[in-house]
Amino acid sequence: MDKSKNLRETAKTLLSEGAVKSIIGYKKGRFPFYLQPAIIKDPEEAASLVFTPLSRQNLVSFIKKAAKPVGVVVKGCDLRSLVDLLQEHQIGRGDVRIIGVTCAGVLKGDALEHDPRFKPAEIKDVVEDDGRIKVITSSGEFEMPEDSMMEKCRSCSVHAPYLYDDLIGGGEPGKAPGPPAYPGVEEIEKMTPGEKRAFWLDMFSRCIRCNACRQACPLCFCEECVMDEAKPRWVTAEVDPVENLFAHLIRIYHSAGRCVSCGECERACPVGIPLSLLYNKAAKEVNELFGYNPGVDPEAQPAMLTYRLEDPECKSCLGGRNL
Amino acid sequence: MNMKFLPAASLKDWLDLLRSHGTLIAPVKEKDGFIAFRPDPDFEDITLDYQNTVRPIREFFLPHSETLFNFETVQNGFDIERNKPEEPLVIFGVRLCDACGLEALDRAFSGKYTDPYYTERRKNALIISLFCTEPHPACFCEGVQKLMTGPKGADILLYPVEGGFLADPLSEKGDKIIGESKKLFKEPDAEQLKAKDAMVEKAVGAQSCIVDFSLLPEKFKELPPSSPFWREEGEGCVSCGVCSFLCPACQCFSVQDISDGKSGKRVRCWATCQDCRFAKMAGGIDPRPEKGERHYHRLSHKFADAPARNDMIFCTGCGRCIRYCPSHHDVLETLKKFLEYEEVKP
Repeated sequence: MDKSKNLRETAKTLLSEGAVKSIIGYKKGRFPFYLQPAIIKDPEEAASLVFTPLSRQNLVSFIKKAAKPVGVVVKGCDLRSLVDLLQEHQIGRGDVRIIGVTCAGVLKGDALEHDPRFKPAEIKDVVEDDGRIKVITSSGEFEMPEDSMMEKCRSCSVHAPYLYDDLIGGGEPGKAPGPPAYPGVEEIEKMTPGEKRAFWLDMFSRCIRCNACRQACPLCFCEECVMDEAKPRWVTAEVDPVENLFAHLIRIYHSAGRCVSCGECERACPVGIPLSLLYNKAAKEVNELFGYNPGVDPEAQPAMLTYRLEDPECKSCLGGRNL
Repeated sequence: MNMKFLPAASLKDWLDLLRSHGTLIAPVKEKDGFIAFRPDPDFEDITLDYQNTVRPIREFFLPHSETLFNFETVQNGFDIERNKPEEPLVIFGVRLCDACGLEALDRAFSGKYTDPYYTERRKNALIISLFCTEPHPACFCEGVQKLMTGPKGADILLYPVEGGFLADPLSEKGDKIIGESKKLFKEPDAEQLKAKDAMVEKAVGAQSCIVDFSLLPEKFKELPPSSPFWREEGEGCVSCGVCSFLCPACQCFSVQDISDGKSGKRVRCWATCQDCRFAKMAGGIDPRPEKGERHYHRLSHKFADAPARNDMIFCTGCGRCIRYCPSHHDVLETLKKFLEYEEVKP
């Protein structure tokens, strides 16, 4: 089934019938190897929408500022962050029309640039063909290997959205997923404290504190971020391995139990810091401690907004005594 | 100033000689494939196989974070200690877009107003460029600055040719440096010069530029930041500022005092005009609250104000703002649409 065609028809109908005021989707730009967000209001603009293996960006980040009701194109993984926004009352269910798309996986940001078989300038199109990703170039067609997909796609359990108003791409609707697989976390856990420290200080030596990780995060919606506060100044704007790490530790604590492992922070990071490993570690801890799986049930109470006497942290605070 | 030929086998010896002029900085490929300019690398670690680094070289002249001075309260006021000057820099393997970015920074920091920190580093530095044989499709340095056919900003430009490099001295300093190591260099032959011309022609052909930059200053006057064009254009932006943090010609900074009340330091850090807090003033007044207004600000500065005040477009066509933007916003697409845009008057 041609997802893009299916998507355009749905979007056009939604806009022309007035079901939504705007739709957030993907469009092609000048380069066949990039997609850009498209925020459209006119039914005629629906013709520009596409869904391809380059639909990497989590568009949920654009919901808050869009004209409502807003239709948003989401993959199963992006849907989790939308559900979190619903849980945290950042958006009303009636203000958002969920246009879910079945997805076979998306390519890593640099997969096409580093493929030795072709040059970026030769790429004509990137398409999904029966679950496989194909690159059409001036020198032939190439199937992309599995490791060219984003980490999260390779262990994905939400190929089909489990909550939607419109389902693009056909097939069976998805089931509420279990916790994400937290890829790569175990390898870091196996490191000694010294190795972990060396690994992260090395990675954070690249950080230029552009804050793209925060800006791209659909769940970083604070009007005033602790990173920018001047009085008191918790974190300086300096590039310094310790300040850099501290800034990210704050984000990790603030997103633990909320982060849905969409990988948007890592995707946005221009210097390639594997941020997902950090956020996935926190998510894994929350899941192990509280059995909470964020971004699945809009009615569920998020782990950090819940208090139960049997929560493990209470026991440890009280030295293991029961109340 | 004459072009010379440096055999590939002599590159190591030449770099070793250059190390005596200051700290050598060159591109190095890290374990995960990330390529960055690193100080004092071993020759074996230097890579010449790269399109460009993610981070431009401006960080060596205008560091992301720089302590301007340390201060301490004493009985009758402050004691201030300025940071000491550093070793001169020899930067090897700089792409022309990054070298040209220094020309923009020169105008900001060593022009009408002189910043001693920047000026000192720049004056002492030696920039050795490496011609870009395979520009990325997002590159447009020829279109905006004519860098492929009229290189500038570097002291020496190396063209990789069969068996070595053609070294073109672009400045007196570069000519002197080549003269100092005469033994390593040879006279180029006609074949090599021909290969160089073909290389330039091919690189120019690999770039596409869809904008006539000369029309932009007038257009920016015509369409204000409040125009619906800019509102729509900003919608897909996440306001992260990767475009300006990775820009070889961007130069904004903020200054913070980091102190425990008694002693501390004054630090200058990069800042981005795409941050919603950048222009905010006391009392909460913000002249550019919308993303589109901030885009207008950035682009009008680069393509209209800078040519008017500094006689140079503050963009070198490196393409980083397109490639590393989380939304892959395309600056040329925006400017092209902008030039074509006609406001509907009610």
